[in-house]
Amino acid sequence: MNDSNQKKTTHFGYREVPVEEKAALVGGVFHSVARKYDLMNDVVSLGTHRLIKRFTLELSAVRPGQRVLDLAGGTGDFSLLFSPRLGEKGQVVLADINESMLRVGRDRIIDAGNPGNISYSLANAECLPFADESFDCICIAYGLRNVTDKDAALRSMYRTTKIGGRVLILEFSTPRNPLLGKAYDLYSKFWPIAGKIVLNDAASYQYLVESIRMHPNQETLRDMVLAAGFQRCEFHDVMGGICAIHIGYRDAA
Amino acid sequence: MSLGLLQSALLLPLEAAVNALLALDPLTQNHLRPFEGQTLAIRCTEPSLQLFISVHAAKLSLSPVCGAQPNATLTGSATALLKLLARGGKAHNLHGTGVSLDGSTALVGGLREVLTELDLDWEYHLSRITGDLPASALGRVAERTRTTVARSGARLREDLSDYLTQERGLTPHRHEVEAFYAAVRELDLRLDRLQARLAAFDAS
Repeated sequence: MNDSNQKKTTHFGYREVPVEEKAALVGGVFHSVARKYDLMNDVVSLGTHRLIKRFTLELSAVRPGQRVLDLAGGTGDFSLLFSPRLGEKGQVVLADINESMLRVGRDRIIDAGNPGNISYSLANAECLPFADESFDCICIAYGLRNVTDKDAALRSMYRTTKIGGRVLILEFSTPRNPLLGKAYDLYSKFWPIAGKIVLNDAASYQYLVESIRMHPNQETLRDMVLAAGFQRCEFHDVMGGICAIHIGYRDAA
Repeated sequence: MSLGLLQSALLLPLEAAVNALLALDPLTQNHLRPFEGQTLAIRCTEPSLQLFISVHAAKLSLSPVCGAQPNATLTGSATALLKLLARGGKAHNLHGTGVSLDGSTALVGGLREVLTELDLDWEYHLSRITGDLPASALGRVAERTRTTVARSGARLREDLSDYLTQERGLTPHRHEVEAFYAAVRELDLRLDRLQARLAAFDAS
């Protein structure tokens, strides 16, 4: 690493790739799956992702008139959940780094009769194009795992969260029970096959499986949230730790 | 938290049903608007459960978790909470119900009113699906059934009471019970008087 000729690397699934290439590789995955992303989510999670998102929504404690950033919001399902809770004076910004995903999300919201309080932003989580203290709540669901520099993304989220606001990170995590872990490992071997059947794309779901394994566990992610500047962080295991919801609070300095 | 997810799954159809009913009664739905964004927590002590009812866009949201401080909290056992929901009168009159309230009484009263006083014109909504004549006929059948069930229920209660008291002699008659209570009250008063007299003798 100290050698100036040696490039910095990061993981893309189990592969080590140059840092600057990861975003493009992840972009390729999501360009490929954008069309049927929600259908595939239903297939691999057996529909539970909808319940988990509802659960996260309740923990967000958003109120009418607030501003929410749905980061890596992709197909917009979370934005549509937030929208009625914020009312006419509130706002949801649906942001994603991937144009295909954002396009699918925008079309879906328009088809749902655009509630009028959702706007869109093609944005990189590592350097959010918003002013300091812009949002009462930032939510990133199943997105942080794909970000190249997670620490930079968390710092960027901290900067744009209002004092008194919170960040919610919903992400795959590490099952607490080894037996559950084994069963989950076994089940996730089916995902690339499902990807092949539904999307004719097994590689993207192979990446999904590998990226989940490489994602930090609950405690490590909590430390990362605190290191980014958030004063408090708590996490809730969902389904025995298969997923976890981290909540970082930005209190007055 | 997995249990919470399961509760969430169980609450979803209930929430959908309540909101579908609310959608049929816009007047009641309007009663929710002053409580927009507010949350009522119901903490059941036996069994240990909690439910959060929030108002969003004139709809109700039911959830086992809530990230915000609720505006009002009702605490009590399952039976006490159900009795409170079932009984008439003002919701904030909690005396002797075994339920305690912390926070906004207006929210509790408003939500209880909405949940218990949904006034749906079933016949009208049915007529939109089946047409006027079948809806009217079904309405008459439903009304006749309701009256018959209510009358039969009242008669069954009376007959059962007569059977237990007079045929089997398992329970005393109401007049006997009242006479017994009156005797106990009289005895209680006499004892009090005797105790007072003894206290007066001791003092002198």
